Amino acid sequence: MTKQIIKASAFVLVPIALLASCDALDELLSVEAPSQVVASDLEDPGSAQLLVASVANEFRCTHTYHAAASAITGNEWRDASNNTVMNIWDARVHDTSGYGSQYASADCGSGQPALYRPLSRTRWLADYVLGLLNGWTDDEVPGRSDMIAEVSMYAGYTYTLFAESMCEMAFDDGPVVAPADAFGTAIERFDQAAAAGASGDLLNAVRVGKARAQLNLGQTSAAAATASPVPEGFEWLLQYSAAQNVTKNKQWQFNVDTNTATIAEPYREFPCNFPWPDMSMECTAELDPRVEVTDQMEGHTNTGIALWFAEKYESAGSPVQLASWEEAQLIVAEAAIEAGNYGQAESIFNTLRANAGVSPYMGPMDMAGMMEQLYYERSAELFLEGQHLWDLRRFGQRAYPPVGQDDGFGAVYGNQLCFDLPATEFQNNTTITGG
Amino acid sequence: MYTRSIEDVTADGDRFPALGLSSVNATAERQGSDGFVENNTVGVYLQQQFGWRDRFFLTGAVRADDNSAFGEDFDLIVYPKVSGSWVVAEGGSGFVNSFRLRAAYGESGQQPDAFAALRSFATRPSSTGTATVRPGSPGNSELGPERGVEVEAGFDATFFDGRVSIDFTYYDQSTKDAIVARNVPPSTGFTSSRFVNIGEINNRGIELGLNARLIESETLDWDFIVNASTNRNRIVDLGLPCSGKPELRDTCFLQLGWTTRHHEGYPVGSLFAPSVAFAEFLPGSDQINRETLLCHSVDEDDNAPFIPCNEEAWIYQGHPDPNLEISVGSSFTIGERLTVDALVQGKIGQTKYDLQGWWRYGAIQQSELNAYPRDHDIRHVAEAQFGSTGEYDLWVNEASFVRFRELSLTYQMPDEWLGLVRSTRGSLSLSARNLAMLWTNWTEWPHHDPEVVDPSNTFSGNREPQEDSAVPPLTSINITVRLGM
Repeated sequence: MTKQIIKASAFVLVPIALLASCDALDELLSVEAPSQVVASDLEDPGSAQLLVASVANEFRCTHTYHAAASAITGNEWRDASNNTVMNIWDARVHDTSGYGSQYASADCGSGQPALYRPLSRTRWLADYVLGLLNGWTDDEVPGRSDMIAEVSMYAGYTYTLFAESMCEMAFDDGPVVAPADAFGTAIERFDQAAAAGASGDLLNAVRVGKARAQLNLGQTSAAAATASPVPEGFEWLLQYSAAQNVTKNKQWQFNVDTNTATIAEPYREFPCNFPWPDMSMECTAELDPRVEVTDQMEGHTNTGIALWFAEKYESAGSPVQLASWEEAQLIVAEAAIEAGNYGQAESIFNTLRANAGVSPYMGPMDMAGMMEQLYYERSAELFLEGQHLWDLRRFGQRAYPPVGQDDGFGAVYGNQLCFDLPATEFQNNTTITGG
Repeated sequence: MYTRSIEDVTADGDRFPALGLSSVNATAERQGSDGFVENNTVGVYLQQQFGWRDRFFLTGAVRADDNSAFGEDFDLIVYPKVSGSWVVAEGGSGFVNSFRLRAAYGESGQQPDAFAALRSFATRPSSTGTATVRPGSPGNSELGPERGVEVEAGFDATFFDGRVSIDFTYYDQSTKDAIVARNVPPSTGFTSSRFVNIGEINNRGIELGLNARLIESETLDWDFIVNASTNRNRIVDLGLPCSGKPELRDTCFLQLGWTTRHHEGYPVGSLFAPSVAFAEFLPGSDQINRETLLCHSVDEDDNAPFIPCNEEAWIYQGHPDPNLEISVGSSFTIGERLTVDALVQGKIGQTKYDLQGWWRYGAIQQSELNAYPRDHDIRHVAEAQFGSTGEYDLWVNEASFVRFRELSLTYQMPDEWLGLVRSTRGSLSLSARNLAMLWTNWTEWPHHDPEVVDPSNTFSGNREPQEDSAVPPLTSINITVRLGM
């Protein structure tokens, strides 16, 4: 009987052991996956150019969706369609989960602004590609330093956009990160770009980005020093096209094409209603062409809300400015105001205004007056470029419409000018949940 | 070894320039797609059966599998199986004709989807027209098969000279290392879910089959058939840090959709939502006072303390799968040729998210409840007024139903008819399906059907079990002619 049991066991165990140890097993189990872009295939020096282009492309999409989020949550746009999701963005009342967490669930390709998903994806992709590039050699990847510089620049801007819009965030399944720490990481990435030998326009984009992050950390004089070398005429444009939904300029699409957003009152007949509209006053001020918007003289087909279009972007393929000499100058001006050098700031304002065809600044030459004018100049120069939401908070300005006002469609305006860590992050992040 | 490979190539086109064209190539705008999936299994299976005097039977088996869909860090898996039966009575006449007891223990596996373990990227067009990539699926190198462990026991018996037969089975099935699509935090760069082997899900219940020939005569036979099954489904262990800790039970869940959760101690994909317990109007207004709004803290228990309607007020509302599925049928054979079959089916105990209700009450607020709030239960009015984000129990409801599923008449053709069409056998049938809803507690009926769940919107797709955009079971009448040559 014992022999029989041994025999039977051998019958069972020997084939299993053979199966487990068979070298040919891997061969038998190998499959083709021609429809899948497998990560291991991309982690090859031959994919370097594709990966860098991918970071740039993801950043483009992220930037335009972020700018749309900044516009509708800040004062630049208002919901025109009473679209249930645009309504949430406009009302500045967000939940961390459920239907009210559109900022967490919307993504590139959505018919609404998007924030946490595209930002997270682009940040991760940029750091992932940076890790790969740093692990390869110049022999394996020709032009590797330039690639590192470009990807580092996009990484730096992505961290900056994160910190300007989120109240708190997380990276790589890690702990909760405060905006100040993210600005710090952004500066590290910009420094990596410079160290990799960024030159020309790329170096200037790095300078403006780093100065922007420094400014946001309150390092005003350092920011001015970083921004000062940026030459007049510099601009770094992000390119869009009408080819696909994800390649379109969303600042144009949501406003002019789909009409889900209209220009908000503070930016109509600019600067007559800025920063706070008083519709009872007749507008006699000189209009500022940097915020050229037009009354379509008709209401939205569903809601009747007056449609105003921005002329800044003419089509789905209109490029968007990521960094410019004008922004660099405004950073220098801010440092000058803080240092009490109002004359330098006034000179910068007037140069920018003259370039735009606006008469010189005639307001008070004191800290309050100059800061108010700085807020104005930034709002005009950087109109619909994704900077205004953060400026609202940074300058301590009131959001329009005021908190507590009914939007006419059942929602009441709140005051959430930054976005909480969404549930999709804190419920699934193993560092935050503890395992 | 078993290899499965599927390649699908599709082409579609729009706008033919002229009549008479039918090829995709002739269209003005053409699109195509090509997909390829390959999966390999290598396995060993051994089985031994023992019998004793045709009364006792014992079967033992073991199977070992490895699969290309397993993660690269996962090795092969072994499944044992044993079953036995005892024929207590066989071939007798009188009250009990045959009686067989049976029991079995077995393990089985469900392999992951072909590419679930792979970390992969998706393609994305760029504004310059080139192809780029973005993070697609996070993959899981440790992904293995779902392991099912089932114990079942029961009997098969026939009574009254074979006119009554009963099959009864009790089963207790646990799925361990269940393959669950678990959300990954966006900070990892991936926004799709990752398939992981986590925790344990238990299903237990009974299956009963009864077939009785109530009348047997030369002119009329009447067969009565009942099939019923019950299921109690529970998530035993989610494999989360909070798992197995009673003090963390209320917060130990994975949120799937607006109201659906995998919650430890509850059925898979359970629905949770707050339920308003107290509300009052603002003075001189039809608007509910948000400041004084209170929700139930425990089920719908009015005796339990009420609490603010925040995240802690989310209480269990039900589960998407029925507790009981039953079908009752009768078959009448009249004479030699005519048969009449009738079937009634019911599903009891499942809960659905009433998306249409939410749209009316909460999203666009265009219902009678919203228009005339003082004519309705103020708690429902409150849920409608504050329900724009979709999470109140007003639109999470039970959707049990009993439906008259089918009635059919079948006539076996006589030889004279068959001769006309040179056939050896033939029948003519007239059947009608989904004739009537006999009973339902789904509040949206008859506007929306309780039976419909859009497969693209089920909890497994991180959405609610709801009826949005799915076609309900249609009433249909069919005439069928069957001929055998």
